[in-house]
Amino acid sequence: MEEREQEVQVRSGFSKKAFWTSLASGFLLLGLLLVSFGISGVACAVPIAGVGDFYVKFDQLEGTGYTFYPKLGETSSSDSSPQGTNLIKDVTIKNLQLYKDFKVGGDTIRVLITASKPVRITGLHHDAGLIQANAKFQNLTLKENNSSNWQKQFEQTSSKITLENAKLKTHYLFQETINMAGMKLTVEKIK
Amino acid sequence: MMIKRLTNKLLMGIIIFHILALSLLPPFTFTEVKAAADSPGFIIQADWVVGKNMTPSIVFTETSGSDKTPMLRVHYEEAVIYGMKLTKQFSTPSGPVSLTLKADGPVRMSGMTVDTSSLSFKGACLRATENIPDAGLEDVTMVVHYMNAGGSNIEQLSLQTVDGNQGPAKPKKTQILVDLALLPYTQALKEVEKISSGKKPLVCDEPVADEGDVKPGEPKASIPDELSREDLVPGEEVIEDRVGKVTDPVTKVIDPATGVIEPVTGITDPITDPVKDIVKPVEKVIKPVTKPVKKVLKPVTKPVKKIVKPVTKPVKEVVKPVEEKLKPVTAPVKHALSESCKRVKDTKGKITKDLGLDLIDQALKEGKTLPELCKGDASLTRALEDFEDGLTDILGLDFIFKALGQDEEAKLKRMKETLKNQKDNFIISL
Repeated sequence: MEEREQEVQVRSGFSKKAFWTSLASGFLLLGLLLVSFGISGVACAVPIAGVGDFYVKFDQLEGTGYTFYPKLGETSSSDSSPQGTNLIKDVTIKNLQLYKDFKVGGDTIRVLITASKPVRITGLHHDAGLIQANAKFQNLTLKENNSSNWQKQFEQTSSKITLENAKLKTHYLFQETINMAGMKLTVEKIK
Repeated sequence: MMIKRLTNKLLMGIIIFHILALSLLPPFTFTEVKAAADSPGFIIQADWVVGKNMTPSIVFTETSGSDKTPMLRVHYEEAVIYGMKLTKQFSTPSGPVSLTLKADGPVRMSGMTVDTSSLSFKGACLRATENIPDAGLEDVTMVVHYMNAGGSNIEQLSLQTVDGNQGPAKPKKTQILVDLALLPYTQALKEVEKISSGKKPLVCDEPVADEGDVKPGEPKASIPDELSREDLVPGEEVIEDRVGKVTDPVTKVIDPATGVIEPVTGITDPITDPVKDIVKPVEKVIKPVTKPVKKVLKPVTKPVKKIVKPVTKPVKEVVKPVEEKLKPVTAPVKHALSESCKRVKDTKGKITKDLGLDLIDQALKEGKTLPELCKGDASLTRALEDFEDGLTDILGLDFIFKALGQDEEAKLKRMKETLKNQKDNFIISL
């Protein structure tokens, strides 16, 4: 009887080999997909969501047709978390870095996507909980609207936006088109 | 049977009592609850606001609770805001949410306009339509409903949305705006005209009673409270750099001199050698000009040979007289052009901001799209299509228009709002 119990415990145990194989193959497939985008230069309608909050960093962003309004959205830890939606019509980003940290056992693994050349995006939809940057706006307007929908009561618009040395805690990202030349994906262990 | 009747009567009585009680409730109770929950306006705080050419006025602005609310509009040609923090509170189905925009560095704005319902500060007194060339406001807190800036540079911006109500308590609503809000709109407009023409004080950092002798933006410390400039006798001046309050009084007394200074005894010897004449006379002066200047410019001796020849031959052919007369107009004009359409026709491919706003107003009034305004004229319809596309593109609205879908009225309103904020010399080339 004791032997049987032991046998059952052994079978239900964590298989490191299977875990690392599936994780590695997953990243390999994701890498191949992203590299194919990198080679072709253009990806269309790319949503990045469902991986919880991740960070977007860059040296400079220049965009036209900017709109901001508040919203409640899903994050990796909550179904309804306060966020801000940023819509930008045309964007050029220099030195873009997207990263997400995963806790695996006692270690922290960072999946990092970088672009060595300027990234061009059209139809950017970006939901963020926090934006830190040096910002410049042209024709900046902050206004209230008489609406029963709380999301429409306040909006910030600008014909041109420039963000420098920015870090954005991001929950959702969508682009109508993206041109990400010089893309690189790395998975590394960090402290 | 009796008990059943009594029960019925009792039930009827209870129902009638509740209906009466409900009808006696004031009708605005629910509105007040909604307004309190919506908490209109966003609060802007600043340690310092320094700006050039500040002009206050009164306007009527849309808020999250009303279409037309009297507001104090403050316009700066240029402004620098130090220690700026913006907070907006929302009542969401999931509870209160706050949006905070904070700048740890200075915020530089050009062409800044702010509409505020409550304002508190130190350092100046604002009078309607009176320009303050160099305004400096300290400890500013205001409830803002609209803010616009042609250019803005926000250093070390941090924009965050968080759960719960955050931010400071709102300052007391500006009294003049409270009074205006109680008046009907047309009467309020007349009052605003009166206030503006009289340059009455709108809001000050001290009670209005002390205001009379202080000019806007002028530091008050330079004139004593009990003495105004008018009290001075001609020839007298107010000393601007007076000694301030003694903050560090002298406490230690200097030791008195005890030792007596000894008298001078030795007398100085008399001067025997007088001072000799040192200055030497100037020997050579500049010699006078004796020889006349020999060569000046030569006079013109030869006449100009070739002049334009006189016209000898008369012009042979003059314009031929019009041989064919215009035929009389027989068919009636099908579509009379509206005033705006005529103006579009006269623009020669360039539509100004004013004309653009008039066209949008007309479209809103008639419930049409812009190209439909001059439907009878194909070229004008095309021109208006180009105008609409150009305006949408230049103002960067097409992405927002996608979100608005088929709501043409909302698109026109957005277009009008954005065009209003452009410079007066804004032109769309077709």
